[in-house]
Amino acid sequence: MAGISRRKISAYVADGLLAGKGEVIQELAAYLVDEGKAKDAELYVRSIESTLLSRGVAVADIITARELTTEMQQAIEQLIGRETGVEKIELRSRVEPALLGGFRLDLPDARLDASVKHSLDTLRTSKV
Amino acid sequence: MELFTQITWLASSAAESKDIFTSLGIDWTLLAVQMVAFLILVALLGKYVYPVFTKVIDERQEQIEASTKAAEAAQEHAETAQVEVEKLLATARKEAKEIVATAKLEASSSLEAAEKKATSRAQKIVDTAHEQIQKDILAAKKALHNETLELVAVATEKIIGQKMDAKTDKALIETSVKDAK
Repeated sequence: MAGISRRKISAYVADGLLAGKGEVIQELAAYLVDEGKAKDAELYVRSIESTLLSRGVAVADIITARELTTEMQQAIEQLIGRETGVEKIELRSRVEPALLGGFRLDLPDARLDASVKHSLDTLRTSKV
Repeated sequence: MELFTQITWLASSAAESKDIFTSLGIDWTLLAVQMVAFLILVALLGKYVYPVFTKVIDERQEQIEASTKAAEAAQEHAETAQVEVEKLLATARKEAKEIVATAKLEASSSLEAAEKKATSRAQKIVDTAHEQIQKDILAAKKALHNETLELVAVATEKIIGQKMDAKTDKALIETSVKDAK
C-alpha cells in the first residue's frame, strides 16, 4: 500500500466497511503506523466518512450536554436523512456538559451547532 | 617855446601892475614858472603815468567785470542746480511716500495673512481635538459594548448552567431540530 493516495485508501476502507469487512480498519491502522502517518489518522477518518457519505452512508457525531433520548436520536437521524438524502445513518452519541444545552451535529462535510455554548461563543465573537 | 615866450611876456607885463598884485603877494614870475612846471608835470603824467594807471585800472576793471560775470554765471548755475535739486527732492519725496505706502500695504497684508494662518491652525487644532475626542468616545463605547457582551455571556452561562434541566434541554433540542428543517 506504499505511496497510495488518501482518497484511494479511503475508498478501499469504505468499501470494505460497507461489505462488512471490519478488518480493513486494522489494515489502515497498520498502514498508517508502517508509513509513519499515524498523526494523519484523523484526516483519513474524515476522508473515509466522506466516501461513505457519497456511497449513501452518513456517519455523524451528535454531542449533547446530557444523554440523548431515543426519541431525540430518531428526530436527529430524520434530520440527517432529509439534509443529506442518505438512508443509512450511523450516529455516534457523545456527552459534553460544557455545551450547557442543545446539541452539536458533526457530519463529514458539515456541522450544525445548536448548542447553548455556541450561542454564547457567537455572542462573545460579536464584540466590536 | 612859444608858450614859454608868451609866459615870459606876460610876466614882464605883469611887472608893470605889480602894485596890486604885489600887495596881494602874487609873484607872477613864480606863478608862471609854477604853471609851466605844473603843465610839464601834467604832460609827463599824461604821457607816461596816466596811461599806465589807466591801463592798470582798465585791466582791473575788466577783471572785476569778468569776475562779476563769472559770479553771475555761477549764480545762475547755482540757481539752476537749486531748481534741479528741488525737482530731485520732490521726486525722491514722492517715491519715498509711495514706498512707505506700499510697505504699509504689504505689512497690512502680511498681518492679515498671518492672522488667517493662525486662525486656520487654531481651527485645525480644535478639529483634531474634536476628532480625537470622538475617536476616544467610540473606543470607550466599543470597550463598554465588549465588556457588556462578556458579562452577559458569563452571566448567561452561569444562569443557564444552573437552570438548564433535562426538560428544558429537550425542548431546546426539539426547537433546534425544527429550525434546522
